[in-house]
Amino acid sequence: MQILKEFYYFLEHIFYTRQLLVTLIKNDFKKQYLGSYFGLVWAFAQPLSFLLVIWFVFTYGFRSAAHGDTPYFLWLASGMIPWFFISGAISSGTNAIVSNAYLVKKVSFRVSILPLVQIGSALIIHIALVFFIVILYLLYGFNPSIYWVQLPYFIFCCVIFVLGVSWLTSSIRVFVKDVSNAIGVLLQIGFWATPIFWNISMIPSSYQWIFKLNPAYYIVQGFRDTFVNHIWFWEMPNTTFYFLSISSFLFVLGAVVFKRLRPHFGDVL
Amino acid sequence: MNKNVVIQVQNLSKTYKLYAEPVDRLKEALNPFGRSYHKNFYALKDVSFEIKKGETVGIIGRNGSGKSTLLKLITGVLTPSGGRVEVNGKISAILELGAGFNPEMTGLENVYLNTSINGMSKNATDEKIDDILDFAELGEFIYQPLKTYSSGMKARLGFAVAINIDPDILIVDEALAVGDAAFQRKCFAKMEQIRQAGATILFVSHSEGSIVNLCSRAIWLSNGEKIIEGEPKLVTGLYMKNSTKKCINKQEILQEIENFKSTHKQKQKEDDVLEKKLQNSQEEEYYDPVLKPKSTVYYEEKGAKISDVRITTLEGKEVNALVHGREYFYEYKIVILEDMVDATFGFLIKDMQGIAIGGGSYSLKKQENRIKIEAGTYKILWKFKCIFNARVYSLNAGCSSNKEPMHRILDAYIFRVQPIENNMFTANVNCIESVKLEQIGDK
Repeated sequence: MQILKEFYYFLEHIFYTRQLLVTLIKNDFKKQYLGSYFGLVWAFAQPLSFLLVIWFVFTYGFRSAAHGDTPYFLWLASGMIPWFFISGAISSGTNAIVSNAYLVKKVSFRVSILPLVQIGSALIIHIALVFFIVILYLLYGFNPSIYWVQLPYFIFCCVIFVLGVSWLTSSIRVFVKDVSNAIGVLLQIGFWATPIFWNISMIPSSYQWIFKLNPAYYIVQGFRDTFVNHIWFWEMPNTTFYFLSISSFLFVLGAVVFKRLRPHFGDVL
Repeated sequence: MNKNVVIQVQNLSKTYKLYAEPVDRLKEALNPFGRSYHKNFYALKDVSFEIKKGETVGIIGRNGSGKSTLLKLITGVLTPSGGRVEVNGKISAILELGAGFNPEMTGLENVYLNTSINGMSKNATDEKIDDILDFAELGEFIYQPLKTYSSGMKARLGFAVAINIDPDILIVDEALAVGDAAFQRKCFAKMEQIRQAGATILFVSHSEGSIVNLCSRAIWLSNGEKIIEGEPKLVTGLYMKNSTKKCINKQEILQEIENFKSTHKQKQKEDDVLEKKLQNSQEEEYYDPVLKPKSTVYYEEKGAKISDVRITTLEGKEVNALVHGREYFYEYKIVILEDMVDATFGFLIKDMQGIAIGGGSYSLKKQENRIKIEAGTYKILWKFKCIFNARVYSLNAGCSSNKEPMHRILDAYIFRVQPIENNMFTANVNCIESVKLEQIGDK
C-alpha cells in the first residue's frame, strides 16, 4: 500500500512537470542533431541505412522467401523498427541521469523526468519510422488495413515497458557504472533472442514459451501481427496478459527504486 | 509554520556516508534489513535557524564549514540526513558558477532551459527575455555556446536569469565573486531592489565587507555547526578574529557575546545622549566620554599586548571628536614579552560599514632597517591629518612578527569628525584641494 502511494505521488509529480518535459525533449533532440550540417537527416539516417542494406541483401542477395504475400523486407522492417526504439530508448534512458549530472547536482528539479526525456526524444524518431513503414506498405501496393489502428496501443505498451526499465537502470547506473555496459550486452543478445530476423515458428513449439518470456517479443510480434499476420492483440490473451503484468511490475518497481535512490544522486554524481 | 517565516531549518544534519566501495552504497539503499555499510562524516551538524520574509541573511565560514551544503539542502538539491528544512516560496538559486547550464548550448538556449526548469513557461520567459539579456550584457555572445564563456560571463548570465524569474527567495553562493566591480555593484543594487519588493535573500560570502553591507543578519558556520547568528558586524568581527584558529570553541564565543550584550544595552542608552551632544558640538576637538567602541574584538595575544589606544591632539590631550583638517596622533602602547624579529605595527581606519578607508603598516625592517626589537614596553605614535568627512569611524590596532599576528584589536577606538561648515565633500575622504568654476565661452 505504502509502495502504491509512493508510486502515485511519483506519477503525479511527473504530470505536473509536463511542460518542462516538452522543453527538455525539444532540447535533447536539438542537442543531438541540430549542431550538424545535415541536422535531422542524421536522426533517421542510421535506422534507414540499416533497413536499406537489409533490403538490398535480402532482395538481391539471399532472396529470402516472402511471407505469404508480404515481401521479406517489409516483414523484416516491421519487426526491426520497434526493436530500434526499444534498444535506443533503453540504452539512452539508462544514461539519462549521469549524462545530465549538471542538472541533477546543481538545480532543484524533478530528476525522474530525465529518463522520460530520453525516451521522448527516441519516440519522435520511432513515430516517424512507423509512418515510414506505413508509407512503404502503401508504396508496395497494400491497402490500408483496419489492423493498423492497434499501432498506438503497441507503441504505448512499448513506452511503458522501456520507461519502467529506464527508471530502474538509470538510477542504478548512478551507483554502478557497469550497468551501461551490461545493458549494451543484453541488448545485443536481445536483438538475436527476439524473433526479428527469424520467425518464432522456426522454434519447436515446446520451446517457444522460453522466447515468449522476453517482453520485447510481444512488441515485435505485435507489429508483425498488425502489418503481416492481421491478428488483433486481444486474440493473443496469454501473451498480452503476460506482457501487461510484467511491464506494469517493471513500471512500479522502476518508479519505486528510482524514488528510493533519488535522494542519494546528489551525493554520488 | 509561522506565515512570516520563509525558511525554517530544524536540527538539520547532513552526513556523508563514506563507503569503502561505491557499490556498498547501492547495497545499503536497497538492503531490506537496513544493514549499514558506511562510516559517517558530518558536513552539517544539528543546525537550526529561521529566516523571515524580507530578511537578508549572510552565511560566513571557512572553506568546508558546510555553507554550500546548507544552501544545497535548502534548495533541495541534496537531501538531509537528519532534521527538517521547510521552505515557503519559490527559490531561485545560484549555487555555483554556470550551475544548470549546458555548456554545448548557446547562452540564449540556456536561458530558456533554465527558466523552464524553474517552472516558467516559454511565454513568460519571452516577456522577461529583454530584461535578462540587458542585465547579462553579453552582446553577440548570447548566440555562442556557453563553453566559450569566461567565468565572469557565466556569472552574469546566471545572475541575470536567477534574479529575473521573480523569486520569493534568492540564494546566492559566492557566484558574484568572479564578476568585476561594476557588475557586483549592479547585482547588489538589484538584490536591494528585489529585497524591497519583499523577497528574502540568503547569501554566502567570504567577504565580510559585503555581508556587513548587505545583510540584516549573519550566521557563522564552522565545521558544520552553527557557532552564532546575529548582527552582521558582530558576527563577522568574531569570525575574522577566530579565522586563524584551527578549532573553534563554541562556548567560549558564546561567552564573549554575552559580555558584549550586557554592555551593549547600556551603550544604547548612552548613544541617545551622544546624538544630542553631536548636534551642539563646536569647532574645537574634545573628548566625548560616551563615544566608545561597542564592538571591540581582541585577538589572542601571542607575545605582545596592545593597550591604551587613543587619539590625542599634537599637545597630547586625548580627544575623539575631531575637527576636519587638523592633525592628530593615533597612539597605542605595546608590551613586547620576548624579543621579536621583523616586527610590524599597523593601524586601520574604517567607516561604520567596516570599509577600510585609510591606514598604515610600519615595518621595522623596511622603515628602520632593524631586524630585531627587544622585549619591553613601547609606544607608537601615528601622526595623521583628519581629512575625513563628518561621520563616525573606528580604528584597528595591530602588531605582527614575521607576518604572524602577535596581537590585534578590531574597533579598538572610535572617533567622530565634527560637522564641517559649508561642507561640499561627499563620501568619506576629502581629496579636494580647491574648486574653480569658470566660464569658457558662450552657449
